[in-house]
Amino acid sequence: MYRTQLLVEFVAIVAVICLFSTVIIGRSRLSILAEEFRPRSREFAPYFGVLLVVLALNSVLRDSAQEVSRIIGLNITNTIYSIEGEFVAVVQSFETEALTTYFSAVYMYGYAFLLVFPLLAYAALSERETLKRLVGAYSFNYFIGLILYIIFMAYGPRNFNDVVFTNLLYQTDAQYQMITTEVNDPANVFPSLHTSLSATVAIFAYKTREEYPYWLAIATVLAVSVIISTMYLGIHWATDVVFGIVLAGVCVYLADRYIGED
Amino acid sequence: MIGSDTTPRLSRRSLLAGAAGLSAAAAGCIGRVQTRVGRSQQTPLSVDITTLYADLDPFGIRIAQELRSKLEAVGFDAQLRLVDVRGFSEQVLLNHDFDIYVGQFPYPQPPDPDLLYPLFRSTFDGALGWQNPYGFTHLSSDQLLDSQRSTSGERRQQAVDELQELLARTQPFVPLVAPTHLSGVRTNSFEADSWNQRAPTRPHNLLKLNPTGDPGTLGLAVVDDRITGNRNPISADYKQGESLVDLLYDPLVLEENGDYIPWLAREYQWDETDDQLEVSITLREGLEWHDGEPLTAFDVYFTYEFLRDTSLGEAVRPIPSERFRGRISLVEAIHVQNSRELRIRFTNASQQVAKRALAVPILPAHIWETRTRIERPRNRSGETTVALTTANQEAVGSGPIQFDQEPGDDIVEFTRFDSHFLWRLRTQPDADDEADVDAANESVSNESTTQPNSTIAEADASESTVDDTEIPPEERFEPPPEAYDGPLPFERLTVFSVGSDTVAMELLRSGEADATIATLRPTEVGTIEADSDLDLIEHQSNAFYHLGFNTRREPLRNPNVRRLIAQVIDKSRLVEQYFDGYGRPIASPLAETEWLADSLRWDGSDPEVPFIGTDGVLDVERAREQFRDIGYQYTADNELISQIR
Repeated sequence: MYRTQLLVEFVAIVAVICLFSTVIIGRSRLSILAEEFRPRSREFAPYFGVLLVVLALNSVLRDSAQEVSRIIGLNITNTIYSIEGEFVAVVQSFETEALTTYFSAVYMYGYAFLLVFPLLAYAALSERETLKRLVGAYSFNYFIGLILYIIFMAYGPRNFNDVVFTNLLYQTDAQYQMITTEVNDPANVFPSLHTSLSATVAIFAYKTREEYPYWLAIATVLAVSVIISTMYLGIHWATDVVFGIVLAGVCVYLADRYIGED
Repeated sequence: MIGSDTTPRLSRRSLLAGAAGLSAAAAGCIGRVQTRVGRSQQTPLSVDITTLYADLDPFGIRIAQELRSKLEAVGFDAQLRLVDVRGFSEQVLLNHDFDIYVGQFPYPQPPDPDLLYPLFRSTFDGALGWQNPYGFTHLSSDQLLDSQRSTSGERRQQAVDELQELLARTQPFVPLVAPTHLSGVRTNSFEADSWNQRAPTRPHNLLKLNPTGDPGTLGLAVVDDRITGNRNPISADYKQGESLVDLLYDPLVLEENGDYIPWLAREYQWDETDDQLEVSITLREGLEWHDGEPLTAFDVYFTYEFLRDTSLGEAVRPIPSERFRGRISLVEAIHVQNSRELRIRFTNASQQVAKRALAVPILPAHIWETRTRIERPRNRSGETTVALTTANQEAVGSGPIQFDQEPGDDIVEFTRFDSHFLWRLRTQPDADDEADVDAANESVSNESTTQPNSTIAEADASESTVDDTEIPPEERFEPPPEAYDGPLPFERLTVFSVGSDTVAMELLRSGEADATIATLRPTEVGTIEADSDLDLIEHQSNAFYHLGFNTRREPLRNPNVRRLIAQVIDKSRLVEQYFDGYGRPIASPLAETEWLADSLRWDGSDPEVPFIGTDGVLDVERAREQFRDIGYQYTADNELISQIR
């Protein structure tokens, strides 16, 4: 099946990028991680368990949530449009073939790498709290995101007006739509989870800048690229992005406040 | 006039009304009308524009945006409501919860004018589906719709002309653009000749394909989630005229480009006496449902009764099908003579129109008679039956393909139904060697007794089926209709339901799909032309884009307002700007047929509701002046407010 083939390809590419990036983690940390793999994974398991539950909830409820949203949700597309107007079209006016390739790649692979790599990097840290908080922050993102999706309905720029706002994803988009149903749901663009999760990772990268200085640089560049790509590709409004960043802040705060010991 | 408007519906508006303490259905309605009228004296007239979002239909949203900006320019408060296909069916077709919609005409084939009957006859106000969703009621229109049914030749043309002119004058809907439909097809799996400029969107065209090798799998990339998840042939559907569901259920005769091909009916004979029109129908021999049960004249009788009232008498008022009501209303009575013969008596109609009644899908009685239970689901305004709400996953029909499995949410697989009359002569094991010549002769003589106009007892019919098993199929069965008698096209049919035309193109490009069933943006043309294994099929479609008005609501109740709304849109400009020239502007729903009234031919501008302005630029002052002329007013901020009372 073509879809399975794409999925395998996608996972393989992200895995290879992660593998090369282990240079950032350093040999000594990796060997300690290998030694302590069992006790550490036992300690992290509940946090990952919660994340998996939230993800499962997300995928199970998404369809019915959209249904509920259609009935009780506030359609804020027009409000968003009246606030920001054609800002996204301005972002898109910088279109070049190279930029489109770059942002499409970042939107798919960069984003996946951004989310997966810190799990590995933080698992290798001697203190355990960062990983717990990061996984917790992911869970908050998905959970609050789901609730916001139910309350608000908003169509993305390219579905709202595909003449003013062009869909620049083309082939990448097609491949992406086939391996994930997330983008398929055009009534759920507020807020941008791509933005909030990327920003969450960037904030954590800042907190761990002492341990991983290079990761801060990489994560910042990637997160900013992902955030711009959501608008450049016509998927999200600037408003979605702003609220995505706010959501990231809230989730990091919640994770710091309620997860971990110090 | 009131119809379903008095019934509560699950919209935000009615929820708000409910929250305000107006719980009773009637109270909710009055409350809403009052708020609308009351509000309109202070605040601008507001209208919602419902349409599919861009991934599902890139053109509808463009027109809707154009309309919104023009309406705002003349002082309306216009809002867009973007929906998916199911949302469109629910809000517009089932609950009439809309002001204006932008959509495609549900019949992509050039229709017989009688198609307008259920759309605009006042008796269908309150009906569901594509049956007067406009709530249009007009005495002259009713008369003309009736008269085109009973007359023929010049007199019918005259009635049809007058009807078109009346619809153009009153504008219950605004025909805008007949698009050139673009499809991408793969020519290395099926011969380019057999695609032969036939739109793959028309399901029966798929049966005429020639595979380049042995018949294998035909893959289709469809942008429309209907076939996956829901295979109900009688429930309301946004794109009802071109659904693959048509390949699961067979009609008595197949409507094809104005021709009527005997399908389940082997033949039919007209009998016109004393203003009474009847038709005698003989079904093909040995018809079967996908589950192996025999298909008989009783199933045909059942279907027509069932479509009239899906509760089969259980409900106080009949709960008819959401489709085919115009056709069903042509049938007065059905008399089953034996398992293969029946007579249908028509109401006052010409043969030309009566034939349309024979083109509804025939349903298996043994399955649908258990679906009469009355229901009140939350997404419908009134009572309905299981028959209309079931997703009908298994879809047991008699059509040339049968449901096999649904391995995922968005994939559904069908197999060729080898017992179908199209295939059985070529797929069933050859009985030639064993056939006894005498038995064959005997049965041939036996068969001659089953010609129409002869009456045979049911016992005879059942006896002859026993004999039939020993006769070679080519002598036992009539050959299939000529147009469908080519090589076997495929063994399996796989449908991928995808989220946008972009994804459909990707599946085509990767070889997973052999054709796109989607509204392709003209930007995809380059992709198709660049690939030597792909062909572009351009097909002039009758599924024209139009605005539909809910004439039950203010201010759209007023034909003058509807005419002015029609005039803020420059149809020629739409074609150039948004369709890249793939389409033509139209002024009548019959523009793509030979029935088009001369007075409504496009001559550079709309003959009845010309654009107010030039080259797409609206003359705002002149438009406002015209709204003032019909009794509306403007506030100091140039907002349009309602007539003074």
